[in-house]
Order: sequence, then structure tokens, then C-alpha cells
Amino acid sequence: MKKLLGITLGILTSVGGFVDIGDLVASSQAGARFGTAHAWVLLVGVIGICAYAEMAGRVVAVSRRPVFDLIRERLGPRVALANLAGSYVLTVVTLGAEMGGVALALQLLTSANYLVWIPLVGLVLWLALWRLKFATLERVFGLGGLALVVFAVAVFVLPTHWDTVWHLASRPGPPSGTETWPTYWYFAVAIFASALTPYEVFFYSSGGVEEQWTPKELSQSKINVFVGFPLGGLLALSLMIVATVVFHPLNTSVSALGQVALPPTMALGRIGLALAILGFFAATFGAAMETGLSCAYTVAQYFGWPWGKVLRPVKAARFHTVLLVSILIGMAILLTTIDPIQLTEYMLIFSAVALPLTYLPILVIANDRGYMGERVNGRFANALGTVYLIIVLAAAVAAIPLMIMTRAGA
Amino acid sequence: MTILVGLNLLDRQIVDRDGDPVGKVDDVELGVDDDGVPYVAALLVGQEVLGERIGADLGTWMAGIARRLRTDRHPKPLRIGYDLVSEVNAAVRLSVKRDLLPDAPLEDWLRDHLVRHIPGAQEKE
Amino acid sequence: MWGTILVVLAVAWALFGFELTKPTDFHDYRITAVESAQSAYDALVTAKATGEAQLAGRTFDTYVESNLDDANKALAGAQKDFVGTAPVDARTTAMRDELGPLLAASTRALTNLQKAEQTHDDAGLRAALAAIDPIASRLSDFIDRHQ
Repeated sequence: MKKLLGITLGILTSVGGFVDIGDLVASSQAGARFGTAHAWVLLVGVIGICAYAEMAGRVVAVSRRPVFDLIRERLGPRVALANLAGSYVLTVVTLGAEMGGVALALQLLTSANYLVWIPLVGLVLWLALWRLKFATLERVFGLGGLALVVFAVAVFVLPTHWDTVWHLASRPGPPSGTETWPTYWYFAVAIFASALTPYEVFFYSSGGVEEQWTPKELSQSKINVFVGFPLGGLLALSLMIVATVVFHPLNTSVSALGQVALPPTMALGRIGLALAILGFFAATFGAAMETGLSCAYTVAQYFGWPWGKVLRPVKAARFHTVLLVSILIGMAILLTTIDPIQLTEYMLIFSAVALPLTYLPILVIANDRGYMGERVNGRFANALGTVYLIIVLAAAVAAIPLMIMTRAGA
Repeated sequence: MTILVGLNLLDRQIVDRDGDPVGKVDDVELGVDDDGVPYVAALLVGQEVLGERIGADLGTWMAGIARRLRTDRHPKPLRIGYDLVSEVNAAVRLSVKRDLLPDAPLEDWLRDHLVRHIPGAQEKE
Repeated sequence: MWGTILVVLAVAWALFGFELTKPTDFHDYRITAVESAQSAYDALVTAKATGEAQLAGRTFDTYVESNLDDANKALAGAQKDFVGTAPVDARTTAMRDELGPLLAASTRALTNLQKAEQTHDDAGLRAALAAIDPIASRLSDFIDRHQ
């Protein structure tokens, strides 16, 4: 049990990245339209985030410096400021969308329009971040998000044709029919970006500082990474498979959260539905905390302000102000009645563009003996890191043209 | 001790003797000793100096905002004499506690006008 | 530097404006029609799956209401897009004459389903579900032919 509680940071980070409101729908949509033809992208994404989160965790354990510290130090104040501006906008908009996701989960429970819930969601989110311990937040929402395992169970209860699943998964590309290659790659970039969203490493590394990791916690960080992220990837894969089973044969698409819950309902009835909704709630709330804190972490770390939930709020006034203001901005974005699900999908594409500026400094610092002493990257980590930097660059270049070409995957 | 100011010092996090964050090395003040050798005299911290270093319109704007947040008429950045630096590695560690240094004006203002008035602000998590 | 950026922005904006204001052609109309038909089809399929789960006692009322509400909204949006685009020639007029009644029938079927669900009328629910199938298959046929 203690071991399990020790890895909730990795679980929460990864659930917030892989199965937040945008991905719950995007993974199901990919499954409905392309079957499991994107399964390999999830695998590529999981390996990439594991490689970089491991580096970021190692840097934190050895030097106590979170990722945004490294970004400013290595890229200089100007480029880092551009990165800060870009990441902040993306993260705060995503924060709004995640709060919308929590509200949508509440809509499924009450049938009252999600907009009604937004003020309450904002208030509870702020209260949780103001009053609750970091460790408590991690445990409640990281483990709560695991209710989504109901999708993995549904894979085995539904009449899954493993031949079809494997056939689609082993032949990457649009399945015969009406989908095109550009749309296929558009979804691939979105799914890849959702695995490596910048806020995941900001949050994970800052969480390591909040938990006061030292070189002694190196192995704990590794377990967090190598259990937490594959778990998130597995949940996303389950969503994709059940959508392949239920929606793909009907040639129908998925665009609302309620549709995502249909497969576990068909497989397991009320219990399946209840667990799915609980999982939606915990995962989106966790993602809202992750993005909200990331907003405040990055700003404070760029300027060198005191930050963190470990400090008493009066000792980190600027940090808590940024946090409060970010939540208010997120609520304001939502109250324009913009669709939170589409919003996160757009944000994923834009975050693909910002990825290189986040991951390059991690790779550089992980090789710096002045920081890392004996714990610099080995050859394997460097090879993997370099390969992924190239993939990330390719995704960054392709993202916007693909978005325009496919009219955002329509 | 020689030190590469650009690579080893600028933009690094400054922490006090207990590891609590103080600010970033936003700029440095150089001095020249009797033999004509330049040395780092002090670390400068604050959005004014950072803004000046970033330069261009954006930097001027940032410095302008930072100055406006000051209450005193001739604001100066936080200046930490280099003799207070005890160690430079992943961070720049000082030999004193943060409480001995003046707080940043924005921090003061937000603490006194906003954060302190919210219930629970004084308590540890 | 700034001059170049301004010129690029101005050109992009002009292209965008042209794209928005240029008259609809056959291609545009076909895309709008197929997208509307697809949305309507998705809404019907979702509503049907939800209704069947409800009949089998596998869901909660709130979830069913929320899902049917979403389906209804998606359908209304599709209908709005479709009505907002005028046909340009004989072929597109024929498309309108085919899809228009189908969308109207979809709306009626969904409304009947919602009514039966709200009054917990199982027989009505079954009838409404049965009415969905032929409409959905005609929509699907329309999509296949015009895609």
C-alpha cells in the first residue's frame, strides 16, 4: 500500500495528460473513425514521455531544480519568456477546458447543463489547491482516475474481435473507406502531443520538488515514471479499443463525453456507467489541478519567486495570486460557452508546436555534470532523447499545416 | 575563482542558506580590482533589471511595470553583495537567511492587500 | 521585419475573407450536406444505443437525458448549417430535396424518443427506437453516395 501511495504523483500526472477531457473524446474518436490504427502512436508517446519524465525527475532529485528553471537558464530570458507566454496561454486555456470537463461529468450525473456547474467547479478547485495537502490531492485524484480501468475491463467483456483489433493496429494508416492520410496524421499528431504535453513535465518536476525528492528518491521517481505513464497510456488504449468495437463498425463518430461512456454501459450496465463517470470526474479534476498549478509553477519559476504548496500562502503571495487569477481566466473562457472538448483538441495541436522548446533544455541539463555530477544521462537515455527530439520537431512542423489541410480533422 | 558569468551565473536560481528561493540572478554588477581584473561585485534581482537585460519594447515594458509597482521614488533592484554567496552549483546559495533581505515589492503588496486576508493564509498545508 | 509580418498577416486575412465571402459552389455545398448528414446520423446512433441501454435497465435517467439532450443539440446544429447554405444548381437542389426531409424525420424521431423517455413509457420507447433504424440507414446511404 505504501508503495502504491508513493507513485500517485506519476499516476496523477499521466492521467491528467493521457485521459483528460480532450483525450477522453479524442481517443474514442480516433477509435471510432480509424479503429486501432493509432495504437502505435500511443506506444511511441508513452516511451517518449517516460524518457523525458525520467530525465526531469532525475534532475529534480539531484539538483532540486524544476523544468522551467532549466528552460530560463539554458535558453536565456528572452526565448524562455516567449516559451513562458506560449505555455501559459496553452495551459490556462486547457485549465478552462478541464474545468468544463468536470462540469460535463456533473452534467451526466444530474442532467443539468454543464454551464450551471462552472462557478462551483472553479470554487472547489481553488479551495482544494488552497487548503489541501499536495499528497492528499495526488492520492485522491490520481487513484480516483483509476476508476477509468472500467474501460480496460469493458474491452474483455464486450465481444471484441481481436483479429480486427490486431489487423487495424498492425497496418498504420487510414482504414479503407472515407478517411484520408492527412486526417490520419492530424489525429496522430494530436495523440502524440497529448502524451507529451508540456504541462506534464512542468507538473511532474515541480511535484518532485514539492515532495522534496533527494538522490535517495531516485528509484521512487523511476517507479513513478515507469508505472504511472504506461498506466495512462493503457487507459487511453482501452478507450480506443472499446470505441473500435462499439462505434467503428457503425461508421459513427464521437464528439461528446456522454458517448464515451456508452461502451462500459453496454458491457457492465449501471456499475460500468457509474465508474466511468467517476473516472471522468476524477481525471478531469486532476487535470484541472495539474494545469492550474502548472500555470502558477511556470510563472513563479521563470521569475524566481517562492512557489509551492509546501509554503504557507503568505510566504508565496505572488504564486497564489497567479493561481487564483489563472482559475478565474479559465472560468471566463468557459463561460463564453465555447465547447471545452474542441478547445482541448485545438490546444493539443498548438502545444505540439511548443514541445521542442520544453524538451531541449531537459536533454541539455541532463548531460551537464555541473548539475548532475555522476548522474548524467547514459548513452541509451541520450540516444532515446535525441530520437524523440527529432520526432517532436517533426510533429511541431507538421501540426499547423495538417490542421489547416484537414480543417481540424473534420 | 574564475566563473563564466553568462553560463554559470546569469538566470540561475538564488536560494538562501536553507534552500528557500530568493529570486533569479537577473543581472550582475561588475567591479574592477586594483590590478585591473574584473570581478563580480553583486547579484541584481528584480523585474526592472531583467526587463533592461531583455531589451527591446517588451523588456522596457516589463521594467516600466516593475518600476510602477514601487512605492519609493528612486527604486533600486535588490542588490546582493557577492560576499554573501556561499556556493554556486545548480543554484546560487547564500550564506544568510532570506528574512534578512528585503522582500520584493510586488510580493509585499499582494501579501498585504490580497493573500493575507483569505482565511487559512497563515497555515501550513 | 515588422513590415514583412504585417504584409503576411494582411494577405492571410484577405485570403480568409475571400474564403468566407466567395459564393458557395457545388463542392462547398456537398461538404456541408455530408457533414450535416453525418452529424444527424451520429446523433441517431447515439440516441438509439442510449435508449436501448435504458430499456435494458443498464443506465441512470440523468445520463440518458443528458445524452439525448446532446444528440438533440448536435442535430439542431447540423440542421442549422444545412439550412444556412443555399443550393447552387440542379444537383445541389436534388441533394437538398433528399436530405431536408431526412433531417426533419431525424428530429421527429429524437423528439419522440425523448418524450417516451421522460414519461417512462417503455412501449413508446420501443416504437421510437424502431423508427430510428430506417432513417439512420437512409442517412448512411446518403453519406456513402455523396462523399
